[in-house]
Amino acid sequence: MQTKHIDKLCCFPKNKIGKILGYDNENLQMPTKIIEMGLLPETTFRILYQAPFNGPLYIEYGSDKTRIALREAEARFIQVEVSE
Amino acid sequence: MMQEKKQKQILLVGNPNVGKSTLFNVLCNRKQKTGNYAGVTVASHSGNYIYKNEEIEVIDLPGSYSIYPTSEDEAIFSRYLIQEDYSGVVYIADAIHMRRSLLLFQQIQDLGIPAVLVVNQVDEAEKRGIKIDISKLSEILNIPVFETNAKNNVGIETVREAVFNNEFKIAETNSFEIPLEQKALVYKVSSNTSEKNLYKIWTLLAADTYLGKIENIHEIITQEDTKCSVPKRLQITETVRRYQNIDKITSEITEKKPQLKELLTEKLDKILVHKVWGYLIFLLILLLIFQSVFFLAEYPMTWIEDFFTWLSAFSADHLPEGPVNSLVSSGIIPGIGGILVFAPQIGILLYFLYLLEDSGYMARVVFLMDRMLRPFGLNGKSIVPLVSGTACAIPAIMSTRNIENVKERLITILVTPFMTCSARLPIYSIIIGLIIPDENFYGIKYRAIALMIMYLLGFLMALLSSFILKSFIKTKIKSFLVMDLPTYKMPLFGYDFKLVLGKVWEFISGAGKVIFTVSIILWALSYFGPPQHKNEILATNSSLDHSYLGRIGRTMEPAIAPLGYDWKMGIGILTSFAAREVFVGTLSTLYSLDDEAPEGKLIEKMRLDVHPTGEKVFSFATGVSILIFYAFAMQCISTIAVVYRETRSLKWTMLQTVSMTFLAYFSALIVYQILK
Repeated sequence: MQTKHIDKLCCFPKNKIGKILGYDNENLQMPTKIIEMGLLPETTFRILYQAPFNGPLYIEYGSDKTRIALREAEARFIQVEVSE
Repeated sequence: MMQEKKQKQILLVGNPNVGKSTLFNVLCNRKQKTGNYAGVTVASHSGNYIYKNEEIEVIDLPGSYSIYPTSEDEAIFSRYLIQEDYSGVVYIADAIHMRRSLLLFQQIQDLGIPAVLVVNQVDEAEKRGIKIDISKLSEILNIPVFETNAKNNVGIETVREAVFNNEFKIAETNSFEIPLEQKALVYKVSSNTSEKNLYKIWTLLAADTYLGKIENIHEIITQEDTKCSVPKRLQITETVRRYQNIDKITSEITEKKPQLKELLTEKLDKILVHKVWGYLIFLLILLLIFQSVFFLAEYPMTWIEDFFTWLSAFSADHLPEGPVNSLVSSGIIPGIGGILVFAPQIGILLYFLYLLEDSGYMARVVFLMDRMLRPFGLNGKSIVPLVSGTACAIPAIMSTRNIENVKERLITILVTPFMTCSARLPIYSIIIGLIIPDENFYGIKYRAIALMIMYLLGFLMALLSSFILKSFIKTKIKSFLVMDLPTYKMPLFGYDFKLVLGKVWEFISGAGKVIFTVSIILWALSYFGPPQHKNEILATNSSLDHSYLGRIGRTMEPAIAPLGYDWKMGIGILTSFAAREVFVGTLSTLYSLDDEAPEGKLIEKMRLDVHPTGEKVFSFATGVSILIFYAFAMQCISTIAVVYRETRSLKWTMLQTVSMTFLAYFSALIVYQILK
């Protein structure tokens, strides 16, 4: 069996469809708002844009194509993989 | 039948950007800002309407994504929802984002709050190929559900009818099952208190801040009990479980056709958040606004000015000679006219800002600016107060409530008054008109460039102060940005225009009252003077120099002479301590009172005014010194009051006012001494 390659959302390539696996949130540093906004495991997403100089990410996710802005620092908590 | 004594009160609740404020406006026909940027409804507003002879009070609460607050406006929301008394909640869900809408809705249901559900923006959802089965939704949630399209006034009557018939319903079963680990504790609290709602007890454990009230709760829950239940972890557990349940519901109620058509928001964002074009467009929009403020407003301003000059001359000719004539035609009319003339500029500026907010563009500006503002201790969300600060610092400071981080919020509040607000415009316009020639530089007016520099100066000072404050204010809480990017909407042009008229009127009547009083006091102080002859108690109709006003002015001259000001400007600064715009009104009155001053428009009188030595009173150095003084000085009682209310700290409020005043005085001093 092939092992899945786990990425972090902050480093995920642009315009590629990915899937959220879980969070790297042992110390509870991640803003709860991320979960409240519906960025949950199994959700598919796509990074559309990023503001210059490692600015916020512009992410589209879910079946209703919600769009939110996230900083790289927050995106680092989210574990993702490429969606087949 | 018994007439209900208590008025029926309903709450409008929902996520940000679901059309809550629009629904509020169509329900109540009352003036209130509707916006497409998270956090326009900065405080709870109330309005009312009458339906079938019943008066209903409507409270519009700030939008939130959950009952656990992360920012000040969400805290206002949760406190109100849990602690206040009301007849029921009208919950507004966004048809496009049903999933997110249902999270907060089910929390409200579990709290045992009577509610009805309204699904708004159904037309927008259909454009996206989303069809919602309303009756099925109603059946699953066991609650009345209505469809509306608030912007086009569709479905409003059915909502009114439901409120009239008290169709609010309390859920019979909880959608969230208390996890096993906390169950014992929750039951323990329940059996020891009168609180029987288990979810309410759970929220006490899960909230970082105190949400509700249960008597003796601290005696029942010991530290031992809460040791293994970290609030944040409980919130995460709850949210994840709720979404699992919600996903089941949404898959049952929504029918989604594949949507291949690219929608407007997708198309627009390709350019508007682009690495290069995005910034250029933002800059262009700002330039367009400032250009319009100056040039579109020119014609109405001339009309208003001509009218008041005429009115003043007319009343001087037709009123009987004497003190009343002098009071009306030299005191009140020029004072009011001096401020009314700036109404067009203020109106244009506000109108543009409203359109930007309504359309959803402001959220993109936050996205673009976040990285740029972070090194200054600010958040991307700070750009909204900073930009609205160019209209007025008061709503701008209130709009900081959606900045989650306490430090970033405080810094934003402290530096926003440096932004060039519309009350500074009258002063800038007249002084720039005096000291900068009316000439072009390749088609661009020098005066426009000068004004642009003043706006930039305010912005740079705001950034510089943030940078300094950043190292003084300490916080352990990490800053974050998790922000919804709403779909673009066509702004309500006509509606915004009405709002602007209301705001401009507020400005004029507010400033007008102050200026009215100030002109009467100024007139009295200038009409009377210390006795010149032995048998007089009071000299009347004395010349300005010999009046009480002249005396006061001359007493303060030593303090202001190094800044290049004469006694008239000194009086202007003194009277404008409460509000900047009073400066121009005061000068206008003072020049009208001075019999030796030439007739005509204020700016002409100021231009021709000379010192006894023959030098111009408004020289280039003096002009720049005034500009600098007003760029940095606080000079606004209302802003001081709102800063105190928002920071709840006398220390920061005092520090801000005192340091701004010092900065203004010494910068003006240095500039004048260099330029003179």
